Amino acid sequence: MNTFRSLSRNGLIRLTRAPYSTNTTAVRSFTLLDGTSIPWIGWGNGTGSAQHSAVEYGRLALESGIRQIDTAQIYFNEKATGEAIQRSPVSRDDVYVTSKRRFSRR
Amino acid sequence: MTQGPPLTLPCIVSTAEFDDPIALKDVVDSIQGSLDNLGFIPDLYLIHYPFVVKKGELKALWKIFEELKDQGKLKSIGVSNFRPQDLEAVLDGAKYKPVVNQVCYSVHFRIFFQFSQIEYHPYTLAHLKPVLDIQAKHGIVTQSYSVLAPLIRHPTGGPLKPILERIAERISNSYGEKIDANTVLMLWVRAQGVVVVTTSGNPDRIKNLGKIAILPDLLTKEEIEEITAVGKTIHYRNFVSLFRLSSKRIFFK
Repeated sequence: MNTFRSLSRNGLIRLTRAPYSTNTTAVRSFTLLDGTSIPWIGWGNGTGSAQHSAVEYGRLALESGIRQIDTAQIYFNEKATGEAIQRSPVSRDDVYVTSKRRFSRR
Repeated sequence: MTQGPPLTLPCIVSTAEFDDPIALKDVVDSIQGSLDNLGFIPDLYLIHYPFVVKKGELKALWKIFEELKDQGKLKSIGVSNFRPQDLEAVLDGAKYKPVVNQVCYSVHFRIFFQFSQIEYHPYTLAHLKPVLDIQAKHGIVTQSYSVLAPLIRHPTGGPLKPILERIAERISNSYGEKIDANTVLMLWVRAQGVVVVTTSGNPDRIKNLGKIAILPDLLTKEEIEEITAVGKTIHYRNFVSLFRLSSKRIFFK
């Protein structure tokens, strides 16, 4: 329901129109080898090196209807990404989260 | 026109200098650091690039990923910035194949990533073919960064720009909603079966992403083929032009 609320709040549901009316409120996904699925488009939360922008822009992207968010150890914003989801109107279960690790001492 | 730079650029030296791989026994604790930071298990966890462990240890690192998945400590597992030989190394006898290879692009790590840098946009298609062929064979999905590079970073946008703008105009007229060249490019990537990871520092653009996310297929088959064909004629990667401008300035940024 959170998803629906945020979509309608942002006027996104208006996009439903002929001849493109087939389920336009859902973000299409690709199926992965292990049977899980990933939304076709995601937000790269690594642009803003500032923690603030990672929380704020991440939240903004989720609020707009994006359902995948990407972070990494070397972006120093895994914490901020968790916080962006918490502050967004979307529940954790409705967001696809990717992180990556560099495994270096430096 | 030209093939991409061979994968033997001297920048592997800078990579080696920058990275100080941890011992394999410390990997599990290191991953726990990510989970603690996030506050949950991410849906997908990746090896960020192939030089994260000592030469020859990639397979052992992947085994640790597989074990953590079996233990329920990780969910989906994959790789990033992997070249054909790196993929072959982890695929050999793997219990789980990497579900994605994220071809990643980050401004701050441009120089020491340049050796392994994989970008997915039409101007890199010829260069990427070997790695994409392996991924297709195994069903590994490509997750891509830097999709908009041809438009944003190329000095002129190259020969694709007018084509993308023409398609954008056609769609805007028939769809009744303003669609720009960037969006056309993202829809082209989706049509290739590739996941787009995009970003922006512009709040208005960010607010518009949700609309792009739910767009139907708007490109014709001919338009998709045209973008692919023109993209293949040019090899262009961000780091190359910047490197030529001034490697030092970028390096210490």
